[in-house]
Amino acid sequence: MQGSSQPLLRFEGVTIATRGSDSSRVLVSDVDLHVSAGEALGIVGESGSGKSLTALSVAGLLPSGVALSSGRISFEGKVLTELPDSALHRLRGKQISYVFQDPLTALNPTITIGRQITDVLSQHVGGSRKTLKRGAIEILSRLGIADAEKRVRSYPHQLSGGMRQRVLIALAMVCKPRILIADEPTTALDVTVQAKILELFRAIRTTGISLIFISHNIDVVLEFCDRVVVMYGGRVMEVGTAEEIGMAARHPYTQALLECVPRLGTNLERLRVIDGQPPGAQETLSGCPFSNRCPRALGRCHSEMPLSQQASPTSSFSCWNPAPTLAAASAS
Amino acid sequence: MQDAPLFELQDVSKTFPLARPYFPFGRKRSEIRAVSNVSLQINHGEVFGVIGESGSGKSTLGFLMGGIERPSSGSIMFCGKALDAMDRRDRNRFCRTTQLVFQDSASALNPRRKVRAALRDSLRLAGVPRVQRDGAVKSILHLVGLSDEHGLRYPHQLSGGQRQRVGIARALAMEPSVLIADEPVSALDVSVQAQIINLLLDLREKLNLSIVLISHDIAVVAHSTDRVAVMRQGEIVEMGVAHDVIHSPQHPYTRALISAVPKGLAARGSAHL
Repeated sequence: MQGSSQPLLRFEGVTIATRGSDSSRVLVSDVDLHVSAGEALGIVGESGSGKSLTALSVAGLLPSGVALSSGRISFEGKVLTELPDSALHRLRGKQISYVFQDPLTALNPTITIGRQITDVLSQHVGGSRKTLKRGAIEILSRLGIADAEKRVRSYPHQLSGGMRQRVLIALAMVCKPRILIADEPTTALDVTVQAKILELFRAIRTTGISLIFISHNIDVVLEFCDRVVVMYGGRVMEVGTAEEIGMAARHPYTQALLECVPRLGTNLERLRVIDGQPPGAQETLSGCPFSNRCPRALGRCHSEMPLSQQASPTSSFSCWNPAPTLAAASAS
Repeated sequence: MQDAPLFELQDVSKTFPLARPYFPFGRKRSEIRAVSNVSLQINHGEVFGVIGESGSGKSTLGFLMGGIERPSSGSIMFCGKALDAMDRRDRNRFCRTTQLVFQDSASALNPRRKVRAALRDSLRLAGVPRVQRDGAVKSILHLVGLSDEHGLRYPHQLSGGQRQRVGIARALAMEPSVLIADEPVSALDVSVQAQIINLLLDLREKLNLSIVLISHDIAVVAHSTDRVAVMRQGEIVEMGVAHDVIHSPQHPYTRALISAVPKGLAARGSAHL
């Protein structure tokens, strides 16, 4: 799936910090990543790892008081970070679109879902009222909403959680974007509904759209992303193909994420946990952000951020004391 | 007292009236059956799981067992005594020994009160003398893996996992023998879910608790319970020893719940460890 040589989206040394003049805090530091055309990239990490900020920075949607302090983000060769706001506005929703976690706050409760979709369409594509409406019905029924002709007249509160998430995906998909960024799109849903929404994302992938899929559940991401980025404390800890991350992860944090997911196959009485708390934004860390919770931490881990090491042509990790792969550990 | 099972539900149903139409002339009032003819037994010291999707009635079942809702029909016995026939003393004792832990710890705690104050309130209701309350707050905080310093914070100053620990601490202040936990981990990161589940299991051993664990995620329940009931549309479709239900599910709905659990790499059909 590694399509063209020129990636669609590229992050180079992206650092995001609060804007305070006297006490600027770094929230995301030095993130390098890329997404090729047609590729699905997963970003995994706990709350506060900076994965959402990374995603929001693409289309200039960072919350007020937080801004890109260095690095650049380029999309189809254009440097997004240098574009004026008006140009970004034209890209958002048309070329780059988002699906957020909570569909109830992302949708406008006072207008019908049909109207919300036609608003997006008329903004970016245009057309007569009739064609707009037809477009809305078409996208809803393509996304598995039964009786779409009637449903366009519904308000968000009249729909179930799974349906609302489908509407949100319809809003994001209606202008046929090049890249879809989904930030925890299934976290608020039941496991069974989550399975259906994941099925939908799998279908969307076949249309050739690139995808950035963010989740705190590494199993969800491994299920259908080509490559996975593991983030912690605002830094990229490990990158690799799904197979490499799932079976040959070297970073202790990645391994801990893999081991704390409850799985049905195993007979463990007790789940593995990662002791302690992720670092808060208040703390300034000189070393590896995971060092305080890491079972393999060495002295230098607390004082010096490890450099990224290449483990294979497609994978790299940042760790002074990488663990043997889980497969090797269980074999010995 | 140990002879009778902890909870014994017989043919329990709960119906709620549906909202009336604006002009109700000549319309029959319809109702929704949230729990329908449920019979089950929960034993002392057991961790009992209730699994089902939203709308399956699992939370209503928890509310019925917690005494928050009354059944429309059927009977609920707690330690051999019917809930609706209890005198005031027994009822008070039941309310103290059965505590609930909710999904959304942020809305379950008063945002204006510090953690320590919330716990002190519970201790006061539990009849702990004033002079002992500060000491008791400390020991409860330690019991759920928090430090004294967390007691000085407001709920919004805690992470989701810490807040859920406070929710559990507040329940423990009443020295309960039963915890009914309604989706205690579904709002949390996977890594924190494991911490909370393990905490509940530790507490069960330390305090000799019985736990009713309600969740939509069969994987969460599978790891921590002795027996499970699978609910769908108000009815129990399958019930049994957790291991058996998960490894050889009999009902197609249970199988559907199992297949919905994300399987990571294994789902891609590639080689798995």
